[in-house]
Amino acid sequence: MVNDSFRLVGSEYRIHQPQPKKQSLRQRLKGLPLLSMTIFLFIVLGCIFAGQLANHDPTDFYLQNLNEAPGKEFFFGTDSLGRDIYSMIWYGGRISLTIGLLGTAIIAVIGILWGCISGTASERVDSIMMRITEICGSIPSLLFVLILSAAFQANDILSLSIVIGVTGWFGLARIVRSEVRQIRNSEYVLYARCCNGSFLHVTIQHLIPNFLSPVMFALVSSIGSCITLESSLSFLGLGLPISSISWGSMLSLANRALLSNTWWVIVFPGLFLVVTLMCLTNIGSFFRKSANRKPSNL
Amino acid sequence: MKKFFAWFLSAALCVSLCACSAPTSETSTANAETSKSEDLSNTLVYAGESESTINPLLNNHEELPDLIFSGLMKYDANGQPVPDLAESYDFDESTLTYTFHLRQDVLWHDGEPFDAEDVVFTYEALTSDKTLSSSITSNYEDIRTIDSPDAYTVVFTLDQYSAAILDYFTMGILPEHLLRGEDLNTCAFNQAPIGTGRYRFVEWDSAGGMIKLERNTDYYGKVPNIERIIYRTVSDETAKATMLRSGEADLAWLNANYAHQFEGDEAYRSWDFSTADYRGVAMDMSSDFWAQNADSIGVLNYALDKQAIIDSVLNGQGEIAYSPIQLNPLGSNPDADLYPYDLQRFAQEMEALGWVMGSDGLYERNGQTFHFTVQTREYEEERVDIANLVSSMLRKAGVDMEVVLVTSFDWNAGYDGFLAGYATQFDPDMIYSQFVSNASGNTMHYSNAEVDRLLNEGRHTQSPDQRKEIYGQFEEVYAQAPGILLVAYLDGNYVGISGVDGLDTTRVLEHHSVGVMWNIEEWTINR
Repeated sequence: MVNDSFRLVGSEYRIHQPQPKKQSLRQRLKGLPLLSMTIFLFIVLGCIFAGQLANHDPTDFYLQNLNEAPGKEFFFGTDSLGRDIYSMIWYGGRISLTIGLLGTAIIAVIGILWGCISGTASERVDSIMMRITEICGSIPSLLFVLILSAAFQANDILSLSIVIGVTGWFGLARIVRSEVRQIRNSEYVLYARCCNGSFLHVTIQHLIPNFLSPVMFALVSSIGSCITLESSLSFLGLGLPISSISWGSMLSLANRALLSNTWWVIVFPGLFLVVTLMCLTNIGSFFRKSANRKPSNL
Repeated sequence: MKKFFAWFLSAALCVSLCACSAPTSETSTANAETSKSEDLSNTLVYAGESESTINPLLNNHEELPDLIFSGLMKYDANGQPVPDLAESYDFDESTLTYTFHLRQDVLWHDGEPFDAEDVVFTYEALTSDKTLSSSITSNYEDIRTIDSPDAYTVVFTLDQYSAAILDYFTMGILPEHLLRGEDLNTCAFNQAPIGTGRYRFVEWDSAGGMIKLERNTDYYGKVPNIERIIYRTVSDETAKATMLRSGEADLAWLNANYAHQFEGDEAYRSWDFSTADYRGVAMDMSSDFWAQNADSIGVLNYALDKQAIIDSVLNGQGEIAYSPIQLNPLGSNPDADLYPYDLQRFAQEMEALGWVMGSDGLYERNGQTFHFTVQTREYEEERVDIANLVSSMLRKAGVDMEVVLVTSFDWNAGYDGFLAGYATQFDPDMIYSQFVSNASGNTMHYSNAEVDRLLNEGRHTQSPDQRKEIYGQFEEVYAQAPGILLVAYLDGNYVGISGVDGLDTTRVLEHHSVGVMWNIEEWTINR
């Protein structure tokens, strides 16, 4: 409204419009584990596009090129039967990463559900459920996996992931449960329950979004532990058959390579495995730090 | 199988977890004591195959029975039978009677005297014990009667002349006084054997995987120089090579690639024996697949580049195999070498047999894909490698051979074949029990009327020239309708520490390069 009787005066009158401060890309990326993320992304992309990257058939035996050192044709060399390590790495990574992700998905589903039920249930049910996870969690996971894989003949990707997943969720369930215990009596949770919100509704709408960031680090690091378990199993000759290449089954050729002094057969798959695990650990610890730093959003 | 191994590992983990909490002082002092009492300077530690029983009747292709037991005859350096427990023997051609005059100075390892009763007992078990699970009983079919007119004479009467029977009289003799009335297949004797041989059995430490032997100072022949043999039961080839490297073993049979790694190292010595040992894919002719497709085994040879397999897996130390008795003096008929490596020829022959290439790149016939399964023991690396290469070559040619790795062979699981090894290092009649229909060692159920006829004729013919001709015919007949996809003959590479001496490479070794200890009494070890 403009009124001539009044005039607003001031030295430099301006309407104050607070501009949403645009963060530069640099600022937004600040603190993120950039190097780890880039390397991990690179490895994942490499495995996805294994068909384009590989320059040889990973399952074929190049009998004219036995035990060849890394070179122009075979970038990472060949093993004692002329298999191309470079091509095997990308194809093998597919299986290793798939098992990591599938195993983690199973861990996530079981762990989160168990933790939510336990966290919202009565004292007695809660303590029974937690004792179960503690008892099962006290069995060394390698032993547990061995017993299960013997009982169920786990020798394909899916069944191996299930075995690894089923034995790996105990830690996650405990974390989820303690998070849920903290927020289960918050007003919005109580309100949702008063309005007859079902358990699933409450879990999905209210609980999970609120504890996701604190458990994120547990999830990311369990990808790494799933990959490690698969590698150990395949290394022992109990995981995948030799015909399906994974980083673990490639490493199972290691003691043979040691005897024949072909270091590249051991070093390259080992390097990829270690680098992937380090990246995952680094990303996981970033999530843990940022969850600890942020104030509670309640 | 794999399942068993996994259970075993889990059990081992459990045990080791318990062991961690148990007080360890007792075991460590016990170990110290045993190591003190054992002077290892004149002891040979041999990394050998894994064993479950030591009984010459049941395990006649293994090293230990030959050390602990001895037979009426034994093989000399050239593989010819010469008297051993017998001082001499007579053969009466008109009555087909062998009379053995036994040594009178022989004692069993438990001190009892050896006599004709023991010989009669052993050969009666071989010829008339129907429950005996031995693969070689077919070799003794021609024996009609066994008599002992006195305590040191044994008389065998045959139904008809048998060319290799003197070879078969090398069978180790079992002690009658310990085994009368026992079940030879399962008795405890098989794990604590008592023989008349050059070494006596001391202890079987199954947890530690070793069998301890001590030289038999009462031996009737030359008493061995080496006082003790510790036989480590390891089957894994990598483990054997590692043990040799780390000084845990003094002698081992290694595959060609591993043996090559020790060449030029002054601390080690190697001996290259020739063997009659071949590798091939033996098909179970009674399986559903081969019962219908037995005509299509030989043709697979065209698709195999056997030389490439020899050059890679065997490090070039081998020979292309075309006949199961190729390296036998009476075998090696070049006309039996029917199948060169020729993929074009393969395609033609497959077409002639009625196989049609399907859209998935595999041959089909009568609605059936050319797919079969082959079991291989996972610790036998050289066989696993051969199986994988054969499978990859066949796959490119349009045949799917699926390789299944097992921890021990399972004959009832329905596999269509296995990665086999056999050897015919002495008389060619050794293949009789393996190829004649329903013979004792014919585990793959091979049956071919012409093969039966020729092998019977070869067994019962006296003249070496005639026999060579007969076995040559057998090789041709067999090559046309084989039950084994033959790949290669291997050399026997033994590697030991440089202090081991006395191994004699004159002898052609058998399957798994067994027989290296044929002259062990001459060996010495110097650490």
